[in-house]
Amino acid sequence: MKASDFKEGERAIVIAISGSIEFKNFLLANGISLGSIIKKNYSPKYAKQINLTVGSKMMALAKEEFLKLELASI
Amino acid sequence: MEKIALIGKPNSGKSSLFNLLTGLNQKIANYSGATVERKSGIVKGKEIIDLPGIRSLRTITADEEITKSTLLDYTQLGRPVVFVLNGMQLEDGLLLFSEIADLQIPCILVINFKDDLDKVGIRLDLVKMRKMIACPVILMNSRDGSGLSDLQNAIESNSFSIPNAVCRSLYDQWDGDQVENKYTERIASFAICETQIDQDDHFKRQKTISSLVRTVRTRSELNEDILNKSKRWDKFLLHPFFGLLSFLFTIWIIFQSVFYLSSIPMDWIDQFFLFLSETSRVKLGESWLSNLIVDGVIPGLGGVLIFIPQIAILFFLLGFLEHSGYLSRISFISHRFLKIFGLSGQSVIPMMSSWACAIPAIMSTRVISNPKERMAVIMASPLMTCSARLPVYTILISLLHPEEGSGFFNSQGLMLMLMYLIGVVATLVVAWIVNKRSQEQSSSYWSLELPIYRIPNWRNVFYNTYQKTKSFVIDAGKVIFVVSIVLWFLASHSPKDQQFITEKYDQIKIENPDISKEAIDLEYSYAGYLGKAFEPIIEPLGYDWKMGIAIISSFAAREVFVGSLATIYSIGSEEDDLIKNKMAKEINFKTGEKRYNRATIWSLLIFYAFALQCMSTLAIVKRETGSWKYPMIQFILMFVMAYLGAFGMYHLM
Repeated sequence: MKASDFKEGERAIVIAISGSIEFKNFLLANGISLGSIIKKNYSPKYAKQINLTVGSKMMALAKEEFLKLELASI
Repeated sequence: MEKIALIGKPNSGKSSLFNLLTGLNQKIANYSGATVERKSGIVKGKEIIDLPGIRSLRTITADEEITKSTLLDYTQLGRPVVFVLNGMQLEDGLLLFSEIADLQIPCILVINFKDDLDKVGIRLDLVKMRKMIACPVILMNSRDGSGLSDLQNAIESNSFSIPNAVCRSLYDQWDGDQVENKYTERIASFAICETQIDQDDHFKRQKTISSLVRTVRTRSELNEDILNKSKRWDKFLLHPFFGLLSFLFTIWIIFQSVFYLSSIPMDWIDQFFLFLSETSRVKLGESWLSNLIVDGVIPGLGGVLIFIPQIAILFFLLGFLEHSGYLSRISFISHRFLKIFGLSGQSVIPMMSSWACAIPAIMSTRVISNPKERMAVIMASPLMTCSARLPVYTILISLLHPEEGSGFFNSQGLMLMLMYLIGVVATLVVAWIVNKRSQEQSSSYWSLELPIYRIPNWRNVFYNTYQKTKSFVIDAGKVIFVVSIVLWFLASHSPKDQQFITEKYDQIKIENPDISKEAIDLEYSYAGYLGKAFEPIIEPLGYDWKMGIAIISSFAAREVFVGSLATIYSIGSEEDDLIKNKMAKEINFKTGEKRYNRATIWSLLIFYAFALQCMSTLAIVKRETGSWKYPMIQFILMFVMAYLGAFGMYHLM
């Protein structure tokens, strides 16, 4: 599933990450890597950010960066 | 002396634990990055060091780099750490703990925020956990201090131990049962991960930790309850319409409260200083000491200390926002708008912190990962309205809008909000210019931790308010005390003899029968001559020499302006009255109009909105940028903006 199809309230597992090494490192520092389970929270369009629950914390990623993730619904 | 570091993820409660352990008052807030530099305190012969929060040993920001390098030093020296993790984010915290464990540093693991765990009924099997990681584990709550004695005992008895590698790094090399630690070497040498092995390493850690947490935690999904409450609030507070409305309403309430709630205590302080003046005059009689105290020190100090209620209310309300978790939501809703100016939501907390003081705000820019953006915020944030501008604005606004008793929603509060808005706009414009001028090519990725909403710990909010207000009183008080004495001397002594001044008074009185002898004494004092020498520079802005003296004295610190005027008008007037009333009565003898007319007040407001009159800010900018070039550019730029802005405003109004 593409990240753009990920809907509010859904849970998914990260199965691929595209982008540079720096980007992958940035995601790692935020607790996201292959195999991470994420849940999409309310993400208003105007903000161009995606709100997620990763593990037990809530965080926001820029939409263009979030779209570099490939997910599988769970 | 033995050194012990407090390590953990941002917003895991390290600083409140540090305060509990040391009795010190490190800043506490409910957002990531409240601590940006090392702070230390001594407990029973051991030095406790509070380090900035770190998300991973793969550091990104300047503050994280401080923690990482300290950790690497600790690895070399075998020094111990207390690792603090948020009990509600056990997996996340243990992921970092596993990296620290691989560095083979002696640890005590503190699981914080026991109250949140209790609220949702989560239980942890600490005995099992201790066995699994072979390290002391203490459950506590740094908000109310429960469990603190266990930690104190563990520190005192030196119970630190090197944990089992919670999930051994893939870098480690195994030789039979022996493991050779290669992870430390790897962490020390890289800034970013370069190979697939880092991804695999992280994945392996995640899996192992999930299984560990499943073993030791009951009702593992229940923390969803707390998250869900925050998510419901987010649906409202991040909403495109209601979110913006809530933000504007919050800010409006803050400014209205600053005026409305402070009016009665300000009257009390005012009455107290008037009483003090009258009593001192009676008790001390007529002497130079009496004049110094009654005309110099009391009006100078009283002129500024009267603003304590307003400053305290502002700090209290900002503290409330910091502790509630709402500041991160403001970062979220403003992120896209700020991108227009080359900034991001990461800049919001340093910028809003500038409403209290630019110094901690500039230091907190260390959490900004993009160096270009960080420089823009450092250069622009002194334009945000700091608390030192509040006394100046308040007195000028009350002259511009003297009406009182119009209830909670009054024009004075609205006017104050406008001044803060001018500060925000100027900050954004300067940040945009700095961004455009910067040659540096840099990019960064955007992430924002959204902490759960909390009802603030009132003790901490009140204590922070008290500490900040005390520091305002002491810092401003020291400068004002010295300036008042110097000004009193300059304003009450003259290079001319009394006969000369009396003759001048008789001549002037023919043209201006209302003029007092005290006003003429002041005019021919050292301060009068000094002020007049420099009057041609400030006359185009609508100021007279008395204002000029107050402006010069306030280059050390802005709030001195009000104290200096209080001293000058006290010497130049025979009656004891409020500084505001004296300013309102001041007449421009050249035009016969009020000295503080609409144009002059606006000119002063704009001058103080832009001018960088704070030596400490210049010093901190030098420290953060490593060069005097930037504070000098900042000082000149802001002075030019202030002068031209005030000039324009005076002639437009």
